Amino acid sequence: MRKVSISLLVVSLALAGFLASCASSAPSAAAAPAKVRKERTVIVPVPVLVKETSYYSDGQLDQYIVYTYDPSKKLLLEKDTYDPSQAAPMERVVSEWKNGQLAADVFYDRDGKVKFRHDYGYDAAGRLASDTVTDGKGRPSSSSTYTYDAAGDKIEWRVFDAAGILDAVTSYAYGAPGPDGAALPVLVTMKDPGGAVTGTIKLAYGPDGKLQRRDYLNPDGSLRKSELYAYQPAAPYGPVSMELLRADGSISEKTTYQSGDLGQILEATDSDGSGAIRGVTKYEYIVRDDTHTNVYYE
Amino acid sequence: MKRLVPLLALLLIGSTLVFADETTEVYKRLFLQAQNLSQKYAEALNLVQLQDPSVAPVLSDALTQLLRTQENYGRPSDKALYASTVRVVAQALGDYKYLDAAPALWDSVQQIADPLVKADALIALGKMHATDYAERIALLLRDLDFKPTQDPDYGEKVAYGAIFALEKLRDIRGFSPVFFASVGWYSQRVRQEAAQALPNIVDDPTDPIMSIIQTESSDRKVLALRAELNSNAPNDRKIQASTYALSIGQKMAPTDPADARQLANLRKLALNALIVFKAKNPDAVPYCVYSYKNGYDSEERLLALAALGANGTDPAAAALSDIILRLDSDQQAGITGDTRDRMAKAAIENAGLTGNKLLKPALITVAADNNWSDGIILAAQKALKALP
Repeated sequence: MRKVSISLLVVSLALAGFLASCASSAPSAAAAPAKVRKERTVIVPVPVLVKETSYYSDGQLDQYIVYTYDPSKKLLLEKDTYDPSQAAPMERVVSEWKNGQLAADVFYDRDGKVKFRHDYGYDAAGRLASDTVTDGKGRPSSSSTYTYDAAGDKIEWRVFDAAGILDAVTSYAYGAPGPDGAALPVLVTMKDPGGAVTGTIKLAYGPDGKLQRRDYLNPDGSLRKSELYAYQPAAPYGPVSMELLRADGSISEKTTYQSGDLGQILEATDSDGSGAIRGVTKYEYIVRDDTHTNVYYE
Repeated sequence: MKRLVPLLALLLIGSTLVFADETTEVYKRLFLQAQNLSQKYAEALNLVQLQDPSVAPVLSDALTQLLRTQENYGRPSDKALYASTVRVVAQALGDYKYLDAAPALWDSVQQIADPLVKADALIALGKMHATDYAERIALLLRDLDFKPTQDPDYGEKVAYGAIFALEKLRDIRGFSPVFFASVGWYSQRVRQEAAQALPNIVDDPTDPIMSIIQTESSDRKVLALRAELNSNAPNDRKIQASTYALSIGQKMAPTDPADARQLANLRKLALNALIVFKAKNPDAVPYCVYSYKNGYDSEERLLALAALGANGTDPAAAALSDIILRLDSDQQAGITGDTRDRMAKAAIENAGLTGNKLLKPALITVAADNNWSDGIILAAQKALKALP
């Protein structure tokens, strides 16, 4: 199961739901000109992940992760991973924020020593422009830069080694926008520093703009593996499953989800290709009430 | 940094799933193509941060390759970087629970000298539930337990990893070495770690604990029985272990006064457990009687009487009856004293607690014997009323 994808998905769902609600309030082409623009303030409940508990397939507790936020519950300050038998965390990730932007993530080991850290830089528009990794001794390890087009969509990611020599270039191409107007990447092309393609990823979306499929292709264009995503057909639009398929279409692993009223993932069960359960992760949230202004016409 | 970068981009750009899973693909390729150790380390760091289990086979192959090329990194600076790289890979393999990597992790334990590498490889084996390695890890810890390593810090670190692994593996073979670690030469941190791990390794540690009680020194016998009583074993098993400890505590000849005290502590702990668990096993009765007759001090003798009272079976009642009648006969013969009075009162009160009518004749005898003080006679009358 991809823990990263889950947290991403949770926020995505909340945000997508919010944007969709905004979009549905916009005037249609057939709107009567006599109607006037009005605004109303709405409270949008947003689930905020606070604890993640993993279990082995036999039900034995494996580990748990505690997330700590600032008082607004918007900025993640710390992510602590615990082994159930240990009082101190096995790993701590402390996030540093500056002017509302994530400035750094510092990873500590179980002895409290820095393992490595990421320092982030932003462009004038406030978009992530660079990510520099240093090891526990402060030595440069690698770095990344990001480039965006005029519309603000990321079009390139470059990876450099410790000496600043280019290692990899990844470019992004976008298709038709989703229902909320946001650009949807449809092709990701990965290249080596010489420009030779090392692989591509094709993405496909459903009519609702949700990612349905991701195909990983070899440099020669042959299919290597695929990921299939399924969602609940109606609100709260939570994900149902993610399947990882081999090139021949057989399932190599699968994660099934149970979602809450707000579309947040409550439980994820990982199984292998034969369906044997490998582990279960449960998620706990607090709900943050965000205030948004909706525009409507009457 | 797969977790926060996409999240941030998402919030800034206002799109869903803008960043595809290319990060894994890119870093995987860079890791595989890394020419030197520092590149490998840097790319390993990038790769493991993705928290993507799909990279586990790549990391496992990389670990095998690192083991094969260990001799190439003999310089001190290389050694440190080599160890750091293996640690990063080992930790990730444990996190991903990639069982196919278990042989390479065990090879890391055996072949790489750095104690932190060994510890991390052991921890990874535990996290992935590599149960096939439970015995090997138990033996490794057993060997460490024997005596401090030449560099104690080295032994401490490896022992910590082994204890963690054995706790996760929950295999009964891990109990004894972890127990010995909890009472061994290690620093308090490691000993505490071991003590906390003990109840998690196995719910019922009675068999290994009885083995420890049979063979180990008196102070360790006491600690072993304590571990049993703190475990999740069912009460009947705790009673079995306590009865066994009581018998061993009586059979052993103390080597010196300190040893005699420890053996007495063992017996008292065992008797106390028999009382708390209201042990009804007849096989404990002779040992209780022995402790009453030959107890190290009054405390042990009183505990023995209480254990007989809590037992309440016919053999226990018969033993209490014999004790009370013997005390009464002595009283009549003019053999008296404060200690004897305390024993008599305790025996009588515990006789009442048995609820066993076999004790009636003895109690009637005491109640009718004017040689006793009013307090003892009153206690006998009260005990009689408690009997059916």
